[in-house]
Amino acid sequence: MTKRATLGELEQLLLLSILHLDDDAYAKRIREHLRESVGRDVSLGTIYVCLTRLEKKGWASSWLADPTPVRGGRAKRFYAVEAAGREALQRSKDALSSLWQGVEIGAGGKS
Amino acid sequence: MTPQGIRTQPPAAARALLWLLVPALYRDQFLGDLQEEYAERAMARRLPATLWYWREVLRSRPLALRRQLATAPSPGSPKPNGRKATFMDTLLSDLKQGVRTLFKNPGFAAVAVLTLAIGIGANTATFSLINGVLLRDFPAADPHELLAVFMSDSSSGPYGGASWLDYTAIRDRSSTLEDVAAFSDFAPVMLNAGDETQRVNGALVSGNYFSVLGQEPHVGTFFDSRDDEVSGADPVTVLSYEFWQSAFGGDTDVVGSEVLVNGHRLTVVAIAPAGFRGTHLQNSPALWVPMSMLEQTMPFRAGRDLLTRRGSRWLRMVGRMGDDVTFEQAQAELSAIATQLGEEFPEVNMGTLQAPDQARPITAMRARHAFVGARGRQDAEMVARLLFGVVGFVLLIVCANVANLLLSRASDRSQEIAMRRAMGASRARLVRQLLTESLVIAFAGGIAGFLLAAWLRNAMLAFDFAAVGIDVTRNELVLDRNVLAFSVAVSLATGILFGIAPAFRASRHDLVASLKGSESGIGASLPRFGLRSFLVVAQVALSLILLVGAGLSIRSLQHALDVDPGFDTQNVLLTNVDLSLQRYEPPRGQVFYRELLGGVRGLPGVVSASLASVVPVNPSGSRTTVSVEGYQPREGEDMELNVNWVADGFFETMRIGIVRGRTFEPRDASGELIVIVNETFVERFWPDQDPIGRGVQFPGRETPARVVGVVRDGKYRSIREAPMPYMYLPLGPTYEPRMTLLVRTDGDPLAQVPAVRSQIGRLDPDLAMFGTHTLEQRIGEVLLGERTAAIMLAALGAVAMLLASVGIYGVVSQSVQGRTREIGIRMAIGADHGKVLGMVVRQGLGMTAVGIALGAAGAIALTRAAESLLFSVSATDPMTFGVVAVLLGGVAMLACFIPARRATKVDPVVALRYE
Repeated sequence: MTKRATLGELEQLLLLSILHLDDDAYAKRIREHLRESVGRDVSLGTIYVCLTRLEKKGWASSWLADPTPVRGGRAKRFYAVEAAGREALQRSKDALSSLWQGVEIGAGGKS
Repeated sequence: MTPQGIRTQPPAAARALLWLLVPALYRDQFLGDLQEEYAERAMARRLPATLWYWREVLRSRPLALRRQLATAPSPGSPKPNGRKATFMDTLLSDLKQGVRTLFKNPGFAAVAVLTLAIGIGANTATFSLINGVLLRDFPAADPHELLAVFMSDSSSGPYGGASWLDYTAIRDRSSTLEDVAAFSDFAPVMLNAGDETQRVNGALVSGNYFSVLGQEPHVGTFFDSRDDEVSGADPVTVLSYEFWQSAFGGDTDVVGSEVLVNGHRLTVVAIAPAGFRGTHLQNSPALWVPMSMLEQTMPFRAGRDLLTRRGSRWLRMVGRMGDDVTFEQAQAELSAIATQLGEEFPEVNMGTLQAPDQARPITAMRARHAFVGARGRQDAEMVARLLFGVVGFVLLIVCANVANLLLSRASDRSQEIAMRRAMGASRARLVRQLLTESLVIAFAGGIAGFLLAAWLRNAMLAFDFAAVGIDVTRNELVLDRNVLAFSVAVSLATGILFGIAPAFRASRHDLVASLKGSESGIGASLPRFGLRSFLVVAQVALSLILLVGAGLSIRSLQHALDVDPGFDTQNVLLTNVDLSLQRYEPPRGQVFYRELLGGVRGLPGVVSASLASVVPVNPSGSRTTVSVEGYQPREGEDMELNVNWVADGFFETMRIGIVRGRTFEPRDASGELIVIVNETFVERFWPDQDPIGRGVQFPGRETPARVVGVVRDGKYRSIREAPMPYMYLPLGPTYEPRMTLLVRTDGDPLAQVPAVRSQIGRLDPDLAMFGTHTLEQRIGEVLLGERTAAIMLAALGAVAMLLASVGIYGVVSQSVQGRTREIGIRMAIGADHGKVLGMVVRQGLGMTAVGIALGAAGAIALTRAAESLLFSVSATDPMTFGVVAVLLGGVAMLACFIPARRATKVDPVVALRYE
């Protein structure tokens, strides 16, 4: 696998969610965001596994915030997209756009 | 976020599970995320949120998460706690290994889990019963603050009732008790709501009763301490939730409406909370009435100055201790009040039978110990001990059995274990792994046992516990948190108990021999089987004890069934009327009885009919102190004798034989008082004399009653009692408002119920008949406890015997397998089939014999303690012991015979090559 590995779908969704949520990006909010915006119910375990992978690849970073009572005194882990992550997203988008060039999926086409 | 929301915690078990499953590094944020969302969801509705949380636990795919996260180098985040992760790692891998070995060996797993399910299921079911009856909390707010307070009446010891004046004195003088409430024992009342008249239990209580017990009404407002001041001024009542549900279908409009209680209008002011059954856990009342309504609602209690006579000790008390008051302080103050009362009212508050020169004591007792009903609690505790003893035995047998299975499997696995050791596993590590495997089996058995208990619960609910003195309802017999905790604890204990010895044994294997697989050579048999033989011996011994218990209780039941009660139980219908509830004056009551008997006797299919105040066999009854003409009682002789008021036709209807003289006739209702006595009466007071015409002096009578007849002895209060003197008085000279109608029929007695009911309705449409059953059913109920014990012990004894024989079979059969070579050699050098058969069977029977001997010794020690429960059977009944020993020996023989036969089929040539 080359360094220019492409993003998986979930990875894309997560990175975009993090960017969307900006400074409120922690797993629970990310999950809600996915549910609300694209209607996907991803389990928390899956999200953490994927976030960890993103961190491992250097595309995202995380830090622990102070515990809050509503979380039963447990800390939150916030996530942010790193420069490499933004690049990967951009690449993904470019690749997809170029692939989409000239492709038309008609409304009456096969679904 | 509201404080409410912050306090909302997800289910603890689910959190604990997650905590275990999610790696330490991500635990905090993972659980935090879930908790945050849970709190939001729980704000809306609790249950869906809880379900959601559990689903999340399942969905978290924790194992996948674990593996990937564990390898994740996470820059800037703290390192996971290494030691803990290691522990969890090992545990998880042991668990996995345990589950895997279970699945690899489904036959073994099925037998072990099933066996355990029987043991754990029986224990869990028993515990759920005990949990429902004995361990439930006293139904009140802060039950630990509540004390039952007793006065002493002269003969019943320290736990007697108090008079109303005693009660008010204690209530007003005590400072350690915040408040004290009083209540009567329950009395039946006629409740008329709409068109239907029902006879239900009612309780008279002081106005502060509900506040002392800390109850909140389900609907409405309770009456309070203002409501018991002026007699007759507070025509109100509170209904129990259960009665409200059953009689009114839970209609809230009932609150504010009127009901007729013994013909008196009372307004329903409140419905008590669900599950509140009053202070006694037996005979729960359907309604509560304030003390001020005594005269109006309890006519048979009225006119006895119950509220003004200091000597009428008819009330029970319950007090609530103030903050920071200890039990000892409260008791000390109550004793001081007792002394004061003794000094102030020496004529009634001084002196008891036990201590004639001291003030009547006032005794406190923790409420939860006091109010199960002293007798009820005793019965329940005895039944509980017995049950637990029996199911505990079954569990021990189960443990021995599974341990044996494990040992036999361990020898199959000896190569695997030796390999592990050779690869460097420490012995401790191996023991831990084997124990974890045992625990996996135990918990699988525990789950199956819990399910079995859930099934047994339904079976238990079909059983009428009230008939054996245990009052437990559907709502109380539940598999709640306590029961779950119990079965988890039992599973854990069982797992360790049956797992520990095999684990140590297996890990001790001789490396070289095991790896070579030559362990099963000649002479390897005995020491290896030491532990297993011991377990089999223990199983046989325990089974013998259970079977002896079963045998004794069956014999005891047989004897009880064979007892001649002294009357003919067939084809007699019993039903009750209570004229006091309809305010009959005695003359009107007598007329009613006469007309009722006339009407019922005229019914087609009725052979005869009569009335009695007590129908045997009945544990309660009336006693009265008499003096017998020409008899000088010894000092302290109990001259309080059983007496029964009966109408004419009683002896004919019951078919009680006449020995001398005559029975009662209609003319005896008026005129000189006469009495009929039984044979034991004559034997005790007038041996060798003619009793006819002699006198018995009853209290409050000017002249003695003349004996006109002698009837055969019978059983009166219990089937087990020794013969006792008994007297019958005719109904007429005395009037009893509560009577049982007896109807002898020429066919099914219950078929006469409608006709009898219409006869009563013809005379008084508002009078209900209650407690209708047949005499046969009555006798059946009397023996229900014995019958249950016999059936249960027999069933469990059979299970135990089956398990023990499986154990014998397993050990013998494996020893045969291990000795194949030896047997082959023996046969090669000339041993015939018979010799080999004998040798193998001897081994099994040897163990059985030792087990039987040990078991017999144990049974003698244990059944002696239960001797009081037996009826005309000695606890060491040689017949029972003999039959059980033979039965067990026979089953053991069979269990040995199958492997022994296989041994004789051994072909010497094959056996010698066998390695």
